[in-house]
Amino acid sequence: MIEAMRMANEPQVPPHALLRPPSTVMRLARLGAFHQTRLSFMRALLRRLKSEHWEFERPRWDISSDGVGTAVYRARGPERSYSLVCFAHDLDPALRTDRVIAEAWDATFALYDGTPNVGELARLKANVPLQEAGRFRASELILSRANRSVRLFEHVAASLAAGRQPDPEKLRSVGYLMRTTAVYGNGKFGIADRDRTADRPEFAGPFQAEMLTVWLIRAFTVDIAEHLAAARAPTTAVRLDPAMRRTLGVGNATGLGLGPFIANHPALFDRWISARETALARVRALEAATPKTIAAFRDTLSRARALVASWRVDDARQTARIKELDADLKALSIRVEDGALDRSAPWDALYDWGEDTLSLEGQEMLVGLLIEPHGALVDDLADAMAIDEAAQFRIDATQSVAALIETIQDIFGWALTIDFEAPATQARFWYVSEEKLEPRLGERMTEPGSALEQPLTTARDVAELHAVLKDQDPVATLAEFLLGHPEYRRTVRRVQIAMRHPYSEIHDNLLAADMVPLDLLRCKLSFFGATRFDPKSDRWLRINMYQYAPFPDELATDEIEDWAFPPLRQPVTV
Amino acid sequence: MTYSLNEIETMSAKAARGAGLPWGMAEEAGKAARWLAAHRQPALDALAGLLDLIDRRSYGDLAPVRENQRWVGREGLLCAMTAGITLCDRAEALAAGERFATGRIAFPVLSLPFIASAQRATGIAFGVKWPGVAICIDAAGLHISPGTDVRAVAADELVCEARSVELNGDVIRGETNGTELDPALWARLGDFAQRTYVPASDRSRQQGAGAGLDDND
Repeated sequence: MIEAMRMANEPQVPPHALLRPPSTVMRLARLGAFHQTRLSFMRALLRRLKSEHWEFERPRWDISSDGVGTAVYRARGPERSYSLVCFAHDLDPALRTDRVIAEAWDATFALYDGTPNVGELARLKANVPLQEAGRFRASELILSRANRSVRLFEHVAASLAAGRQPDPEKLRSVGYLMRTTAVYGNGKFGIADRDRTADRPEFAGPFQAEMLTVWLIRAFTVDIAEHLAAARAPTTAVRLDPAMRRTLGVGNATGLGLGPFIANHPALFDRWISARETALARVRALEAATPKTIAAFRDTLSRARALVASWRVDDARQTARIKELDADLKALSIRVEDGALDRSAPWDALYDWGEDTLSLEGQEMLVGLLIEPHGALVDDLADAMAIDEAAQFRIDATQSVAALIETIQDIFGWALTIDFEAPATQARFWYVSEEKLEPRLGERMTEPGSALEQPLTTARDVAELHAVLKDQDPVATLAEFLLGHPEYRRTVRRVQIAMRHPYSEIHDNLLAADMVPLDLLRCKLSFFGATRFDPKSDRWLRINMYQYAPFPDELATDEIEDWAFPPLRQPVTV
Repeated sequence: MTYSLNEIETMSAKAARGAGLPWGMAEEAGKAARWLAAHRQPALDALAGLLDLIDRRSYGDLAPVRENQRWVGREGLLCAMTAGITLCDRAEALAAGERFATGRIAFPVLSLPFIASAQRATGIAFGVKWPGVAICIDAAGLHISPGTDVRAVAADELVCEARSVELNGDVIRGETNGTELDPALWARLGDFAQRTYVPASDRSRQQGAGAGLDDND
């Protein structure tokens, strides 16, 4: 740790000179190849919970022998405690769907601010199982639900009941017992606004309450499987082997909703990308690699290869990408064994080699691997990934028309080259369905509803604004221009945010016929810390969260530094 | 019923969009409603009233025009939100001493969030007056005399200037949690918001979100 800090202070190329430009980073295809890093939100959360010595307990387990009832998990930190209130249900399999339009689930959850009393539990029991159709208070921070993986859950419960550990191959092929299908925060359905908790250190970073909820849900998914096994066969049932348990994360099924989020939070998105890019630049700026970081890099690389080798999906596009990634990591290993790190500025040279040699998947996994052994150098950046978006909202209307034109040409040149007269450039439109207000994507030429298009239209809007501005008096202020053209207020605001936040805009047209919506979803999920992206279509995927992470009862004692990569020797015995 | 600030912002923005405002202004309407709700001022009744008034009219009918040093509405009544936006766009000039005055204005309370935004941008305290009301907005919050009724449906004029109102009464700071609202009012905004959603259809359900309906695996 001290070595890394010392080297960072030696004369060298300053890190900011090594920042990758937005024109490289902000292409949708590259964003869609992102992998988790140590700055990802679930990793930042577990580091904090461990360093602050949070304690975990299960004060209530009131679940019947057929798996129906209430459980409470409590996380106790230095200043506050939070309770995950769980309701386990008996779901008719005919109703089991991961879609947001579902109305019943195997289990439903709320993260409660503090410890709920009996009256509060009763109120939650009347509302949490209804999810969107319930009504909540500011004492609830997060609302979520999950369905069992039918493939794995029953196998695990039956095996444990019979006194056996489950088949490790089955565990590997699914990776979780339950899938969450939504994790709601920030005021939805009456729960607490983010403003209410944003000044608490534990929730200052993005999505930390959501990440805490999912991590506690993971403990519940194993506990309920073990509970059912014990209820079925009290004399023979065994508990899940701890090493096997670590290979189980929480699944998640995710649709298009994440896309509009990124597009609607440009300044926040900039903070995420900027932290990741700054971390990479700091590592690249190091003049030398220490034996300790080299050993850690090699170790993580081997484990990343094991992760990729066991990453199997049905989707043909992703299967081809995984195969390429596998070859990329092999090439990287050979490069490192051939002495790539025995030179000055070794990390920078290795990155440059990767950029010239590897697929986008390979390059972006390399970014995570380069950052991984340098926690002391980069972990502070996890605290810089939030922003007061309201403070970014006001338009600076003193800017002149000429200055805005120049800004657009400087930073939105990529949008000005798109021909929006060509049908393929406007083939799609984003909309909100009246069904549970689900975000969806339509075909403009053949589907109704494009008049109700959502504004994921920045490329087109900026090009239009640029054309209109050229007919204006160049010395006029934006205050004067916008008085007659309020329809450009949104676009002007975004251009000005992009002036201050270079990584705020995706440099691609989100309406294009060849746009891959998955890329948007995957990018956001990588910042959460998700792994094993498993596309089910071009706008829907499953993922795994917290796979290989310690469980609450292991956090205090286990090493957690690099949990996201699987241990090399599977200590699983059957 | 208690609604969170985020629900209030989202609903207000959608409702404004549903009433025909461009996206940027709709977002501003959402932020304005949130600010008013956080400061426990009547936000949604004013917004719903305003949206009824401007429903599906073109912005040209609403745009403030300058006439004898005052901003007035083309048809004799100015929309407080467009007035507020215009004011906020001129925050620097107001901070330097320019006076912002309007002719007859609908739902003047809706101008307050934009004055607050001008205050945050410039660091200058602003006073705003309309008949029966004198309010100061500074870094601490909203200074308003107890018993002041800000709910006027219209006022003959509104004047905003830097540091023009003596601090009086208690300061109202923004809360971070939601507030009680009349569900009937919520439903009025919901009717506007509904216009922004695409009706359900089988094709949309199956293709628009791209996932199967059965996940028993």
